[in-house]
Amino acid sequence: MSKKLDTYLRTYRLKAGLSQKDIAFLLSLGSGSAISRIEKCSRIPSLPILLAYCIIFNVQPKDLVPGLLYDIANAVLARARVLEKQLQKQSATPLVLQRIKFLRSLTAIKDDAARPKEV
Amino acid sequence: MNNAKEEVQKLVLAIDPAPRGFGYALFEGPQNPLDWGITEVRILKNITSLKKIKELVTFYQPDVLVLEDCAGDKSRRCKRVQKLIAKTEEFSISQKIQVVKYSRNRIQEVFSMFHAKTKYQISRKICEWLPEFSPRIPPKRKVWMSEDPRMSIFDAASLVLTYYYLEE
Repeated sequence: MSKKLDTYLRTYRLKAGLSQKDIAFLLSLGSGSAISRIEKCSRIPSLPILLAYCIIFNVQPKDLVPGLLYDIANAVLARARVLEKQLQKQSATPLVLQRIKFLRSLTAIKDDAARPKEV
Repeated sequence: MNNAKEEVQKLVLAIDPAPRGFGYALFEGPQNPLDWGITEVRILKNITSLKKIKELVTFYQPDVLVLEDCAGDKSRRCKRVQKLIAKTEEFSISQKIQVVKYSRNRIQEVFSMFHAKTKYQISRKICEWLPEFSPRIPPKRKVWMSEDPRMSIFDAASLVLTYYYLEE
């Protein structure tokens, strides 16, 4: 599945032929309207619900909510850069250097969650 | 999966007005439907339909919007639907979305290459290519029947597939 949309929850549900009520039942949610809000992105799915979706459709979170993952990844990477700068001002003990090394490897990763550039 | 090829595929949305609402289909590549369905509207048809169409277009931000070309005297669409299509086109252009229109004749020309001419044959052909559409296929229409509302989903899908065939 490509990554142009923020969420593919509805797509996977339609392809499986399931109704919103079916998914609500599988997720122990009260009604299909909760699913509707999740599919329209007016409600962010909680971690247990997201993991349940992954189990139902046998996919990874990045396949279901690439937009959400992209936003979270960007926020985490930005904070990682800030933390790295703060650590660099501290005395270079082995522990501090290890922490900086880890943060650099984190920010150097081409995040899988990043959306492909639009053509 | 070829990621470079995934990036090139445009997000194409088609809207097909129906007597009580509209059908729609969103694709990212001719073999990758992302969303399809019917939105039912019973009162203030054009006002409510346009509002829901705007919500759909705003939510998905497609690269291309495909509509039926109702120009010409031989169009069998009523004035209300022609106005709705015109308003939809106007809105999409204001959102800087490319709008492409095909007449029913053009769609039939494309699908006739795949031995499908009537709406029913076209819907069967779409189900053959995209089995996920099969649960929505309406029964074959008899002379005394009105068109099944579900046919608007296939009309929308046929618009998108015509686009991919002719443009991509």
